[in-house]
Amino acid sequence: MSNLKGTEKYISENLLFNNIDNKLVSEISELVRYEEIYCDEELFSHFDCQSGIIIFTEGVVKWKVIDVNGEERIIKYFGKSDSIVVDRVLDLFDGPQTFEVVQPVKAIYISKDIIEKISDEQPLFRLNLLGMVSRKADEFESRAGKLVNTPVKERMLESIKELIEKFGLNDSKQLRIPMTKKDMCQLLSASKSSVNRLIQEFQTKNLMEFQRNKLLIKDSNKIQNYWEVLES
Amino acid sequence: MKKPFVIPECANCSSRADSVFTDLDASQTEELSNQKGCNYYKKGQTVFFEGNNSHGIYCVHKGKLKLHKLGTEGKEQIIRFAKDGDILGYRALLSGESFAASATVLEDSSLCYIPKDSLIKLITEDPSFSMKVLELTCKEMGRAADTITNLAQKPVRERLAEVLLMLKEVFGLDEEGTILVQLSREELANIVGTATESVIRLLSELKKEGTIELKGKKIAIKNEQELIHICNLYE
Repeated sequence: MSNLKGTEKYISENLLFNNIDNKLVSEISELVRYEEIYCDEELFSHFDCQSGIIIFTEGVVKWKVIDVNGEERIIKYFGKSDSIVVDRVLDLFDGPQTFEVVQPVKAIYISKDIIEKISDEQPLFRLNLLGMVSRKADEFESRAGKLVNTPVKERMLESIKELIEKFGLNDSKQLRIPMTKKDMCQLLSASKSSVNRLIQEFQTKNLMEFQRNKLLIKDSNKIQNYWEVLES
Repeated sequence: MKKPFVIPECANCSSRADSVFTDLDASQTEELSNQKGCNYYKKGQTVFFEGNNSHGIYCVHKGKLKLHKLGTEGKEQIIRFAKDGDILGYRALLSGESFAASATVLEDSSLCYIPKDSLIKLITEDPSFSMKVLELTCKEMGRAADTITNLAQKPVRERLAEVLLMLKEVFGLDEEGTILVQLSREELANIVGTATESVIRLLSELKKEGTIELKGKKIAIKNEQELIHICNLYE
C-alpha cells in the first residue's frame, strides 16, 4: 500500500475532518489507501470499491451519466479537495455512470470500516458528513431547478463562471481543464445547435473562444458579472 | 367560536410515523417536545426565505408547502414539496449556509420549530437518528438527480404527466381520484418548466382524452395507466 506524503495534512484539511481529534487523524492517515490514476482511466477501476470515501488531492475527474434518452450528461467535475461518498454517489442515478480521469489524479481512499469507526467515536464527524451531503443536495436541487426553468445562455455563462472559480485559468487565459464543445453540450444538457449558436455569439462579443479542447476566456470580468451580458 | 390552536405533543403527533423522529425513544421525544415551539400559518404565508440564515428546523405537523427559489427575471422555481411529517431547513443548518430556497404554505398549516441545539444534540448523541437524516438527504438528492437525467430531458407533455404522477405520490388522492393539493396553473407550469399557456392547453388535451378531470384548480386522475404510458416511466 503506497502512501502519499502529506496524507495527514490532506485529511485534516478536508471539511469532513473539521475539528476531529488530531491523534485520530494521524491514525487514519496510516490506514488509508493512496492511489494515482492516469488520464482516460476509470476512477473505480483502480479503487474497485462500492463504499467508503475518496478524497481528491490532485487532478480532475469528469462524472457522467446516461440520461433517459441515452445521451451522456456531465454531472460534475471533481477537483482538488472534493470528496465522494462512494455508495451514496453510485446509488444516485439509475443509468450507467462513468468517472473519467481528465487530468492525472492523486486520491486518498478511506474504507467504509474506517468511516464507521470514526462515525461511532466522533459525533462531530457525523455532523461534518451531514454538512457535506447537505451542500451537495442543495447543489443538485439548484441544478435540477435551473435545468427545467433557466435558458441555456444563462446556464452556460453561470457554468463557465463556476468552472473558472473552481479550476482557474492558465497563463494563456485558458480554462485549466480540457473543455470541448461536446463537453459543454453534455454539461448543459443542451443541443449542439444551441451551444454552437451561443459560442458564436460569445465569440462575436469577445467573451470566449473554443480552441480545440481548450476554452479561451477573453473577458473573465464580463463572465464574473454575466447577468450584464444577459441584459445586453 | 373557533377552537384555540393547541401545540401538539411529539409523543402523540399523528405525523410522527412519517418523520425522521419516528424511532426516538420516550426520553428523547419528551425532550424534543419540551424544546420545540409550534406556529400556525395561513395559506400563502412564507415560513422562511431563501438567503436567510437558519437557526432551527421546521417539522410539518399538518399541512402542505412548496419549496421555491427565485430564478431568472424573478420567476419562481419550485424545487419540491413538503407535507405532514417532513422536515424543512435542516440542510441549511447542517451545511452552515443560508436557506437554499423559501418555504411557503399551500394551505393553512401548523409547523413545529426545533431549535438548532436540539437537532445537533440528537445527531451527535444518536448515530441511528443521524443515519436517518443522511438517508433523507440522499433521497432528496436522488429526486433532484432524477430530474436532471429524466424529467428535464423529456418533452413538455411527458413532463406534465410525470409531474401529475409525482403530485399524486407526494400528496395522495381522495376517493374520487383528485390529487390532494391545489396548485395554480402558473405553479404547475413552473414545476414542469414551460409557459402557463402550454400547461393549460395540455391539461385540456388530457381532459379531452379522459386521462384527467378538471374541477377548477383541482385535478383528478381518471386513467393513471395512461399517464404512466405518456411519460414512458416503465418503457
